[in-house]
Amino acid sequence: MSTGPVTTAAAGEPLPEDGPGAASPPAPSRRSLLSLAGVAVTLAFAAFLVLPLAALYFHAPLKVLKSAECCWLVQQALLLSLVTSLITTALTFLVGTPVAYTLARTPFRGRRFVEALVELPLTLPPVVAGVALLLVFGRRGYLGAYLEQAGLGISFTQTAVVMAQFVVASPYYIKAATGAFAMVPENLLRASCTLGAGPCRRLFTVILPLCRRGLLAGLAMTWARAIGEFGATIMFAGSFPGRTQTMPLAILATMNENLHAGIVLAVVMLTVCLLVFVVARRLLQPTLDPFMRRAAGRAAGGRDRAL
Amino acid sequence: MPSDTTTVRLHKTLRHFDLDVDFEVAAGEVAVVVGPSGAGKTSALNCIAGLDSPESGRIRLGDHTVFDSLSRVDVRPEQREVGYVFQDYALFPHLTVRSNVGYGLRARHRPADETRSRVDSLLEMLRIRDLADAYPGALSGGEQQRVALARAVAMLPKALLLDEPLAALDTTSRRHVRRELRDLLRRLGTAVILVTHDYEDALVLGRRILVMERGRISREGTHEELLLHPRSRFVADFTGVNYYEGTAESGGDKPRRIRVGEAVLHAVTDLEGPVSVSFFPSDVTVSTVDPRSSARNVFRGLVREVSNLGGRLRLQVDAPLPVVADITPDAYGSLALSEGTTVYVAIKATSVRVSE
Repeated sequence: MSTGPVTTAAAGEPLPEDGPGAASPPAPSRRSLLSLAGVAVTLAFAAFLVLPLAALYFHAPLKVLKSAECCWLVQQALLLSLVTSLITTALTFLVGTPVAYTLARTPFRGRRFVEALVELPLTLPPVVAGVALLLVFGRRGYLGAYLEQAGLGISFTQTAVVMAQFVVASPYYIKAATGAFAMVPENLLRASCTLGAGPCRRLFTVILPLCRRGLLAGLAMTWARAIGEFGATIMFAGSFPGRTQTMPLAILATMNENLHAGIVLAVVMLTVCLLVFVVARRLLQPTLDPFMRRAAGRAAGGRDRAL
Repeated sequence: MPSDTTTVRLHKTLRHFDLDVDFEVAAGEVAVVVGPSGAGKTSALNCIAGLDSPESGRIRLGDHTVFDSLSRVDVRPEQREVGYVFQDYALFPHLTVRSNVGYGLRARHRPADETRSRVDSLLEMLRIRDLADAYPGALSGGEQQRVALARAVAMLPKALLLDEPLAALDTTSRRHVRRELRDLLRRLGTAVILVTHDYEDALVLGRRILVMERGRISREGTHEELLLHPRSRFVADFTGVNYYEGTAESGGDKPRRIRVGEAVLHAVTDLEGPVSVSFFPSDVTVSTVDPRSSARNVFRGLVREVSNLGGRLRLQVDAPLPVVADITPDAYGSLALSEGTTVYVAIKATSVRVSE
């Protein structure tokens, strides 16, 4: 949980007991060399991140977008990306929430091991995950062969796209949600217990409201990871335009033929992601939580009373 | 036979010792369990609330048996009608004061209008009506305590448990809140079990005091009884009286000689053999010259420490017996005392109480 506003209020609060020198905030001239170096590195890093993105917009030959072929490609790929990544996110929420809750709050033998296992895909190269999926669910895979016989072949379908995204992206949500669930103070649950709330009511009136921000942040990360998924998808689902070719795959495929069209696709994708990023950041602002805002207001109000 | 009495008898193995308590609290009575941190007080409360299970025993809240190891009854905490005020108050940070107080009523599916009027009257009674729409993060410690109390009593529980209700408050608001809490608890009419490590709290809040040591209730009585006859160093430390264990010599003298280590105290008693001796710090007279007064017990010693008790000064004197004496600031000034001064402490034989 962010304590940003609270600490800001506390830091800006001169303590009346202290001497005048100690009370005033550090003057700019007193900034140490080390903190100046820190600011310089931070700015340089930010520039390093932003410049290539700016270059994309600067360079984008948007008129290419008007060509019929490119337009069709963008529509297909973008729609596919949006639909599959949203399905993956929804699936992650449904499956990941009970998993995260169990990992955070239900002790069982081998819990630490399972926790490590669930986090493994975070470090696993997505291509490897794609190969592994192919081995099990592919046409001749251990399970895939039977599924194929039953007419439920998965590989190179949109189901495969979602599965690839799910394997790679769901651990982000599970990790964030586990952290959020573990942070719920035990005493609040005990209090709700003595007040007559059963497990279900405890979940919906205490745990979920307190974890809301953590869960949303996890979902946002999972969605971002899913829409950008490349390696596992190309391995397991292939790159068939209109069927399994998501935006990242479409960008690569187009780049090979027409550099300008590739850049345009990249710009379109970047724009969509930026929009979502801005909205998600606004939604996750701690100041939007009423009780957080009150807490911050209290820190300021307390100062007024003290003075 | 209908009864409003809460009966607690339980045994549980804790990490360093066994919890073994047995007591009753009548409706409308406030029982204060006082003991040092780690004596098992909170564990006992958790067992009563059902947050923890004892190994054996029986807990009855009025007519309702909520735990019985013999007939294997162990009612879930959400079905026991127990109000619990936690040490950190455990208010829901995402709910307003009004929603916090109404939480229990909503959990028990009471009609919305009943909930609203009950919450309103509680907020009124506890004088937190203005705070109804505030969030707990915006409240002072004393206000949070009142919200926690209102929330705990909203469903009219059979028993109300309070775990160190004043520990989270600063010293200035503490005294004021303590008095308010006392008046409130007396008005509630339920059985109240309050746990504290502070004897001052126990003294103000409860008529009946249960002293808990290492999982057991070692002593039970009113404040006056504990003050006059501490009977153990532990209780004496809590009440702040001078306390020694010694041997009363048999003999005809009216004030009897009681040997405490190297020193001898004179006291009026009929007891013989091993006894405990106590006297109040306020019954000690301090002077810088040998008083040669009627007091039979005079010791010469050094002032080791002076502390302020608010209106009085407390001296720790290293005499043949370590003696604690309370004197007025006037006396302190006129005697020109400081740490390291040689003084005479005198205690009348009639002020020394002897018990077995």
